[in-house]
Amino acid sequence: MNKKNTLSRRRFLKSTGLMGAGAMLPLGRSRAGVILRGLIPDEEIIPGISYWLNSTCAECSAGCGVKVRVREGNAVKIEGNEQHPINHGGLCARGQSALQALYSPARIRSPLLRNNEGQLAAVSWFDAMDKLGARLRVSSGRNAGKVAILTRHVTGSLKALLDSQTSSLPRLKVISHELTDYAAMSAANKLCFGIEGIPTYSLDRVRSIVSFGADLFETWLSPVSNAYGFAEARHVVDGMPWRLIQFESHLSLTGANADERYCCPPGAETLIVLAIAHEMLKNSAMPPEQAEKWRRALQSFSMERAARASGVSVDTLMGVANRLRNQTPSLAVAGGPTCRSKYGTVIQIGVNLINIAAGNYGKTLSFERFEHAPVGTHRQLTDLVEEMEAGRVEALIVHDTNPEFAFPEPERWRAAVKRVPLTVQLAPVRDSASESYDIILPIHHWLERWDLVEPRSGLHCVQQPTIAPWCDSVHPGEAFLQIMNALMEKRPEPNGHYEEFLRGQWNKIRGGESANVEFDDFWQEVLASGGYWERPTARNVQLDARAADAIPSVELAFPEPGTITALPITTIRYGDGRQTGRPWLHEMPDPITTLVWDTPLLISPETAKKWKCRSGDMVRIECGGDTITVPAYVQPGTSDAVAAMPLGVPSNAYAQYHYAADSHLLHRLAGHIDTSSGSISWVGAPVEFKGVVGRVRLARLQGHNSQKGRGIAQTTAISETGQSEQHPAEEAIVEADLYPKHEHPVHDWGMVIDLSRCIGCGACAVACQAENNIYVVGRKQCLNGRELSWLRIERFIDRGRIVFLPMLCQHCEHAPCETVCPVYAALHSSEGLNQQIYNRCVGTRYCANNCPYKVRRFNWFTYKVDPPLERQFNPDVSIRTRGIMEKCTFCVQRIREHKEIAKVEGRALRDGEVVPACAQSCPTHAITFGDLNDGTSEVATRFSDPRGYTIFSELNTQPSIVYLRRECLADGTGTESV
Amino acid sequence: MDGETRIPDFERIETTVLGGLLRPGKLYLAFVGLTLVCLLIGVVAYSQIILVSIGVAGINNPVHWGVFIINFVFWVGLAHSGTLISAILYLFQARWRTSINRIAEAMTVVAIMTAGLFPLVHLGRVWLVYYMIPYPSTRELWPNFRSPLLWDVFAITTYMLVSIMFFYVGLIPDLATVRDRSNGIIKRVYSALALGWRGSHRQWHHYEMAYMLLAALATPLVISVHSVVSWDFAVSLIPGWHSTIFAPYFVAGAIFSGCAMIIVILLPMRKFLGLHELITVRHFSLLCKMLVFMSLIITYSYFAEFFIAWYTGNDIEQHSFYNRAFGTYGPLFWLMIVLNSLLPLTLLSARLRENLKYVYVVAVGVVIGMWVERFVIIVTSLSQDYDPYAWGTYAPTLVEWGILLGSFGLFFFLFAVLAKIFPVVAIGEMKALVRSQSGESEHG
Repeated sequence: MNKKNTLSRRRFLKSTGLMGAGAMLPLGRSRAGVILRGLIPDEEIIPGISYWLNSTCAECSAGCGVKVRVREGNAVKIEGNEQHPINHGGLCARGQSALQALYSPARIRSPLLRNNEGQLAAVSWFDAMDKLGARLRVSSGRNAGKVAILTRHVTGSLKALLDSQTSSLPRLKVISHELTDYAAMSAANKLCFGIEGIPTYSLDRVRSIVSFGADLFETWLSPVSNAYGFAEARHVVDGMPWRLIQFESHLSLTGANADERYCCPPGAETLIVLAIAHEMLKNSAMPPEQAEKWRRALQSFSMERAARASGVSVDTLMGVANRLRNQTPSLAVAGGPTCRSKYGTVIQIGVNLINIAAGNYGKTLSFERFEHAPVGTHRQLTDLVEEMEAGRVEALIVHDTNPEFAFPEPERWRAAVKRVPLTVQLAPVRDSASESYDIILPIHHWLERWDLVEPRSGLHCVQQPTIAPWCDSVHPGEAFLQIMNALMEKRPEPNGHYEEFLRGQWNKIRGGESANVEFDDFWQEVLASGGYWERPTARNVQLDARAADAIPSVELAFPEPGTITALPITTIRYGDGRQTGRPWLHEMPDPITTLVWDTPLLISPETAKKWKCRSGDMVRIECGGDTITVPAYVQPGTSDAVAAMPLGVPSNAYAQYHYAADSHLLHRLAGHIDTSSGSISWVGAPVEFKGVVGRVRLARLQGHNSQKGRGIAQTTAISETGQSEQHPAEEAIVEADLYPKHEHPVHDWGMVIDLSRCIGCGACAVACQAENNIYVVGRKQCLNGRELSWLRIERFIDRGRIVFLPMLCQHCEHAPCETVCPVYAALHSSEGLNQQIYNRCVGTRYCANNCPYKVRRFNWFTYKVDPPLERQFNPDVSIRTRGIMEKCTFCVQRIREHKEIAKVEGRALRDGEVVPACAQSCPTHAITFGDLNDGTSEVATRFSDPRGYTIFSELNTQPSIVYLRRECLADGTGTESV
Repeated sequence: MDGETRIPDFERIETTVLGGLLRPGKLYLAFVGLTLVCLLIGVVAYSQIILVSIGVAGINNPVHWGVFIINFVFWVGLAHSGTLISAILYLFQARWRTSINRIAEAMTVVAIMTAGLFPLVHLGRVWLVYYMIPYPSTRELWPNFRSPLLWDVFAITTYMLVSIMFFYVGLIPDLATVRDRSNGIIKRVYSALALGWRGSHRQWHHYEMAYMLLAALATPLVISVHSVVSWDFAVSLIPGWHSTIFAPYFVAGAIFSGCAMIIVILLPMRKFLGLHELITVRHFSLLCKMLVFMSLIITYSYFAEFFIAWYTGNDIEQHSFYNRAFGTYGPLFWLMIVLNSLLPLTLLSARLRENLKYVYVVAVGVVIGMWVERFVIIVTSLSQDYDPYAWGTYAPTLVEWGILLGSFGLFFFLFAVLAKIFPVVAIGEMKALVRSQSGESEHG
């Protein structure tokens, strides 16, 4: 290739980084200045001022709207976008941790090519693409094998690109794959309504939800959206309280928040769903002949049979059916690992039937918008593997997914990959499978690129670059275009860049409802709101009775009673396992086990008794033909019939930035396939106990499970008719004070935390960590009790109900820490803040001893982060070194920032203007912050809520945080222990 | 008993006592060598704290105070008996103190110096310790006078200054005796130290007045210092700490451990320095009686703490004491009861009191028991306080044990040095005692 050609190609490659539309868009793939020039003109960038850029989270398929804070060319914080119709301002911990992938030390810095020695070596883009092109061309020809693209869930523009190319390239096979697919749901909807897609759920309108294993708040479809809806629904309407009923096999966060929770063995939920569906047919408004058909199909599924299999009484199941029927609008959902069974589609048909019978369509769930874009199924992935094994695949291009992790048989996958002549990975961060590919092409992280995504149909969301790509990466769309050009042996056209394609896509969207708006105006609008929301399309559902044929009349095969089944579970901490390389998430305690770093095998107390083991024992189990040794953890609420293990096992090494290689139970499934949907059953192989082989310390942060009647987490009972329990007002302690009262002439900051809304998801804790530059201290220090997080979720039981309680510095008026500090490092501000002056602190640690809430955190060491993770640090918050006490500041830097803004604008601070990081990120808006001096502020009104109480009020510390008791249904079922 | 009844003459007193100041023997050097090794271990351990961080200790969240504060209280406690024996017994004219007051005072000085190091060892940022000193800074920043830690600074410094002064004033006549018996450079040094003591009637008159005034000044300090140290705990709101009994409880504990430590030191010194004639079995018997008396006070305090915890009806308080006896650290609590409350009771028997080997064992037991007592109070209270979520446990690391060993090394090293350069028994007072006793009939 001559020099001219080289240059043009390189220049072409260089220009691929930044995509976009109109004059707003920069054209070079270059450093920060260039990017910001495109977004905010250089001369307008003021150091010290934050710029907020709207984008769309790509950490899971839910696609929450985010806004990213950019300071001096670095993205430093991700928050939820308040205007976004999916997440309403909240953002989960996993979404927030995206910054740690953006600045991950494991980012792929440049294209890597396998050299003659078989090692992956850094090469230039030109070399990489040249080699790739050459290899693809060599393999072209008449009998050319397939070129397979295996991609993560893609929507919007990227999906359009892939779709457009597959039609013109028969050799090309595109499979999108997600570990947590919802294939059974779309298969059931196709059978029932002829609509292949997943409806959107509006939990906020619900009066009663029955969830069959669905982990609504962890991963199910759109967890932040679900959490928001749930919290909105939790209030009494016309004397009718809400209700969440959960059937599940392991204690999930959703189950912990349920008003009624029933623990049943895997398989039982199928029978329960069908029995309830059968029961609800009785007086539904269905045409008689249709109802008859369904009744025939369901006749063997009686309440008695379900009760026998699940251990839940017939009365209870009848009660659930009645709730669904009478406490409307109601909602039935099914999901979670046990509903990803070989009867997954059958369960979903049953659920559809229940929702139809209860008249929920159009009220609490609708097909006006589809949730997620369709993804491929396990069957398609298996087909691909078979083709790879047969040598029919010439090239495999893996885009931002780790099939070695997500495919249940990693050995088979590895062997299949070896049969493919050319394997290419497009990924921003290295993963456990990276070593097995021939070419690795770094792509932009989603925080570095322009894009159009559509997490729900009709919601066209923008992704925009927040920092200049710091690795030698390209946009994945550009990489795809390149590959396809090479396949078609086309020279790149001048307009053949992805940015042009993307612009075209946005233009198409404008063409719909706002065709008469100038593109620039439209674009400004999109950037300001985070996207463009199309009007929903009304779709009526008509139940197709032929779906009844899918319900098997034969005896269903379930695990034998008495066997213990391996069950991989998704948790709020690691989701489907893709975020296991994020230090923040490692150090976020799992809300159920309160473990950091560790993901042990969860077993029931009964199983523990049977196995004669206790938490922390290393148990050897035989499962799916292998013997594995894992730590056991006794988790009450786990069914005796399962041994569950969260997906995503981090290595205990501190610096682990990629996908976990060994997900244990996911790779030990029984291999059953749901024939209707083609997805694999997550209900694993039976577990055989082989003995205890040792002990390991598990990093558990909660020192003791019981609050010992100390009234830390409190509940208030709501009667069936919506009457709430009355609580006596706290007695003010009026004793002579030794010291004069603090004066708060201007502001008096306070906080109200509504425990009714708090679901314990831990998003606030991670937000705090991100905002306040709190170091991750590592597993070893956590084991020593040296965790550094300022905010923690305590999980206690009050009157049999699990209550999650965010515990942070209470900013006491009578702070015990302030009097004991010999050097005034802890002192009260004139605005009611309990301040810690880092520079003055000598490290006596007396303040921490004397804090009854134990929220002060000591820097036992000078901690470090692996570069370039430090780019995430908030420049407004100082870094603490060894020997210094620190704690929650109520985000004093945000208070200062907004006071300054108000001062410049010559006005008083508005209520709600200052929002601490924890309150901002909360998916359920449980935290209210504001000025107590302003009598009209929201926080001031809620401060005197009858549900309010302060913790340890008998100590007369006079906290600035009021907790509102968790509302619990008086007749709900409780939990004795967790 | 022969040694007890025979009254030595002045010459014998001087030679016996001053014999200790002669050229060091092998045994002495070996002992000093051992103490230096311990001290070195302590220094190496401490260097970890400076070079790495305070995190090398086992302290954590919620047990933010551990071995360092335990050692602090322990050494401050040991520093008590010196002044008690010198000053209070002097004011009460308990003459038997004469034989042992010098050793007790020296122990006080050395122990308070050792104790004073621990608040520094314990700090997260020791290089900023001057923030705790009230000095006029241009930023008008003062320390927080409401903090018990600041009270500590004052209490410990005052106590240290007064005990050094008391020790020194008591030494003056003896320094003159050494001066008179030495020559060369040593004579000059002792001359300077003796401040021109001639032993005139006038000087003796002033000396005794000064000594009595100092004794009167030191006496309230015995009470105040450990009261202030106890307020570090009592003023906080930790269940198990927050108690009005703490000041007398800690003072009693301090005297208790101090008396035991005197026995621990005195017995070997008596043997190796040949002080049998001056320090007799009777002295040990009297010390044992004090030990028993203090042990009874301590036992009563243990009981009172538990009783009050039960009587308050406060769950949190009750849990704290339940945890103290039956929690993770329960065995330590029972060890403390055995060593501090039960074993000393056996000294009610006169026969056992005169069995010096047994007395020694009990005294060592009490020293250990009192260290354990501080561990029990500090660690168990912190490990389970208000919020059960934050409960935790604490185990000292090698660094902390090393520093504890180093503090013993420092203590015995300084003590050995003091014993080599100053007379270990107050010769002047001894002579006065001998004169008064030989003049009078022989009674105690």
